[in-house]
This record gives sequence, structure tokens and C-alpha cells, in this order.
Amino acid sequence: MTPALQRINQLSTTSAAKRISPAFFRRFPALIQVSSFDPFNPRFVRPRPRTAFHCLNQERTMTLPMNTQKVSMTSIERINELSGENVKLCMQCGTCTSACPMADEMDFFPRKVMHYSQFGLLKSMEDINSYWKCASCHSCSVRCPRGIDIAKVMEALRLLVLRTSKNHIEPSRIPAEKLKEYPGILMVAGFRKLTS
Amino acid sequence: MKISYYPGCTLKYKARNLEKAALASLDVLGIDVEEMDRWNCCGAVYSLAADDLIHMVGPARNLIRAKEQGAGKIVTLCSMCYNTLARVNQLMKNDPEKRDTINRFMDDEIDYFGEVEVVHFLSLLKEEVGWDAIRAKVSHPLNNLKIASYYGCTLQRPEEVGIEPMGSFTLMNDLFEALGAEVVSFAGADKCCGSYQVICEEPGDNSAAAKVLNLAAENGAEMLASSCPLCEFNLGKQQEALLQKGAISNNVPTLYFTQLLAMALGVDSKEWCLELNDKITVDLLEAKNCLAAV
Repeated sequence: MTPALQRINQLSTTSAAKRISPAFFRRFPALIQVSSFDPFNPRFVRPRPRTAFHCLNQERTMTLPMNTQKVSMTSIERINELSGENVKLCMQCGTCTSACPMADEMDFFPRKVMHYSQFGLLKSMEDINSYWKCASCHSCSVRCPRGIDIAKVMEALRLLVLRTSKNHIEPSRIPAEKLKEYPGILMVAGFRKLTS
Repeated sequence: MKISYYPGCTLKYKARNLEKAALASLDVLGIDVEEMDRWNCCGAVYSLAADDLIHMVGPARNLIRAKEQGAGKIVTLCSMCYNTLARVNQLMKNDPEKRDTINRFMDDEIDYFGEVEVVHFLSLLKEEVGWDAIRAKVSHPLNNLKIASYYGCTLQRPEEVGIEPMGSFTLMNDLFEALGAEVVSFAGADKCCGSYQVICEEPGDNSAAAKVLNLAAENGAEMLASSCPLCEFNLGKQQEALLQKGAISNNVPTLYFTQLLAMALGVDSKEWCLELNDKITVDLLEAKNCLAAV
């Protein structure tokens, strides 16, 4: 990490960030773009993580701003019912994230998905790709120190969308030349997991 | 005890090389297996939702067929079929409530209580033949070939159906050693290849497969052997695209472990079905003098 990035990093975590003039950040637009962090814009949309630095940033925001209106008990129940797991058991250690082969392509790492699930924040997870990227490889499930089958939680999140008759992929839009190449096992597995 | 063989959807078409080489090798080794009558698709993936029983019906029906036909064991070659059948078998054995629902749903079939054992071809080789017996039957040892065993996700996870404990790859490694090859161990042996995710990706974008191939190449593997048609597609057929996009820096030829077995046992080369493999695989085997003998 360059000293400049370190500086921004440090600023954004301390209360000093509130006192620093936005002009400071405007002077280094490139740095802000790289760090993908803008403390002055609460609506800043973080791009998909592509570098280790992005990933670090994503994991820095461990605290969830929370109030009683935000928590959805029914959503927690639905996730638990569908997955057969208890998401509240998760202690946020992040072992799942470190084991996940798809984590670097995910909007939310598995740990964060578990965190949001614990509060039933389904709305905030509507547009993320994490549970669609999950390939049910069970790398996380076999390592979870709390014994949660995280792959089942991901499946529950997929099904909550698929069971509203929404397809994640449209089979009719797959080009014929690709279909010709695809082995049967790929289509059976893919359509089972990603279409309603 | 009768052993029933369950092929699965892809082995009759795109992955004939996995099946034919295996069955011809079993003939040489003197193991009798009989292809199951009226088998159907296993569903490829095990349904993880607690309330989803309808997707268990397909695999359960296969288990019922095996019981009907008097088989004590079902052997599978494809690791995804193995995983799905083995997990449904566990469910039928250990969950009385779900088992009764499934049995009641298929009221035209006999009731099933998990009597049949689901085994993978590798376990069958170890239990029914043994590595020493295989070593004795090797007529064309695979000398000078550095092979990395690739298990993927479904042979070892979850633990209750894994063919061996997590992190141990002795079944495939011991087999290759018995065939005279040099085994390369690498950290990617149980990493996911991207599985069905490639269906919504452009060729060459599969970073999970790239990781596996890079790890294999870094550890000096000349060849990657798998037991799953989907792994073979992601790691083998898509390799050229990965190379073009710069996701991997070196080619690692891939093939099925059964093809190596058939080669070493001196099975007729027609049964290897190498025409279904990539050119780089055939070229490497030729360079290593594995094709000359038969």
C-alpha cells in the first residue's frame, strides 16, 4: 500500500474524516477511485471488488447500522426455514470468506451475507451477486466452526428469488453454438440452480 | 453381491471417454458390473433446501431400481452423480419423516430404506481389486508422467459422503502410483472448478478454474486427472479460452483418471476414446510414449 493510500485509509476510519475538507479528496480523485471510499458521500456506490484493496475496504465496514424497524424477523425465519440452518449461530469469524473460491467475484463476501441474513436484511441483498456466484462447493460449510451449512443459506437466498418465478439466467438466450458445446451435466446443474 | 453401474447423463455422450475406459478396465481386472436397467437423470446437484423433496425423487428412483434389480452396490464414475446419489441415500437412511414422504409419493414403486450402498469407482477399485493387484496387471506403466489428482468439490464434501477425509487424496494418488506414474500434490486438488457457473459466463472468465490450473502448473504437474465431466469441461475444454484471456500462463493437459487406468492396463486403444480429449492431451501422451505400446 502506498503512503498516500494509507493516509486515506487512516482518514476514513477516524473522526478526522469528518473534519477534512472535501477539497482534499477532490485533489486526489484517482486515489479515491482506487480506494473506492468516499466518506463525504453516503450514497457512494462501491464498484465490484477487483483488487485486494477493494476487498479490504469491503471487510472494513463490519458494523451494520441497525434499528428495530430494519430487522425483519419474518425474513430471518424464512431463511432459517428454507435452509434448515440457524443463521444466528454465526459468530462472524470470516472462515467462510477465506475458504470461498468465488469470494473475489462477490459483491458481498459470504461473511457479510451471513451478517445480513442474521438481521433478515433481504432487501439490501436483492441486487448482490453473492448467492448467484456460489457454486455450492461446500468449502465454507465443511470449515464453519459453528457448524452452519452456509451453502444451504446461499441456496435459501437463491430460492427466495427463484420461487417468485424469476429466472437468474434465461435458457432461451444462451446461443445455440454454446449449447452445442455444453455437456449435459452443466445444463442440468445450471438450470436447476439458476432458473425457477 | 451384484454391483450395479450407474452412468449418468453425460457419460453416454460427451464423456464417453470416462465410461468406456472404465468399463474396459474392469473387464481386464475381472470385476463384474452391470449397467442399471431404466436409470434416469440424478439431477446433477443435490437440493439443499429443507422443504425441497421433489428433487430427491429422481435420485431416489435410481436407488429403488438398484434395489429392485437385486444390487447391493451402485457404482458411479461421475463425481456429481456420486455426490447426489450418496446424499439422497443418506437421507433415505437417516431421515424417517422425509423418507416416508418420498416413498408415499412414489406409491407405484417399492419402498426404499437406504439398503443399497453408493460407491465411487475409485473406492470400488480399492475395495474389490486393491492397488497391489492393479500394480500386478499393469502392462504399460505410465513412466515419466507427472500427474496431479483433481478431486473437485463433490468427491470429498460434505464429509458424510466423502470418499475419503478432507485434505487426503490417497485413493487417486495411490492408483496413479500403482500405474507407474509420478504423483504431484498441489493445493488445488479440492478447490472448486467453477462448476455450473460457466453457464452464465463468457469462455475464459472462470477465475476458479484458472486458479486450479495455475496451481497445478506451479507445482510441476504435466497432466491433471479428474473424474467429473463438468470439471473436465471447465478445466480442459475451456482452457484455450483461459489462456487467450491471460488467466493462465501455461497449458495443463487434462483427462479422466479412467483413461490413464485403461492405458496402463493395456486396454485396446479404441476404448480410451482419446478423440474426445483435447489435442494437447494427446500430444503430451504421445511425447511421453504412452500411446505407442498398444
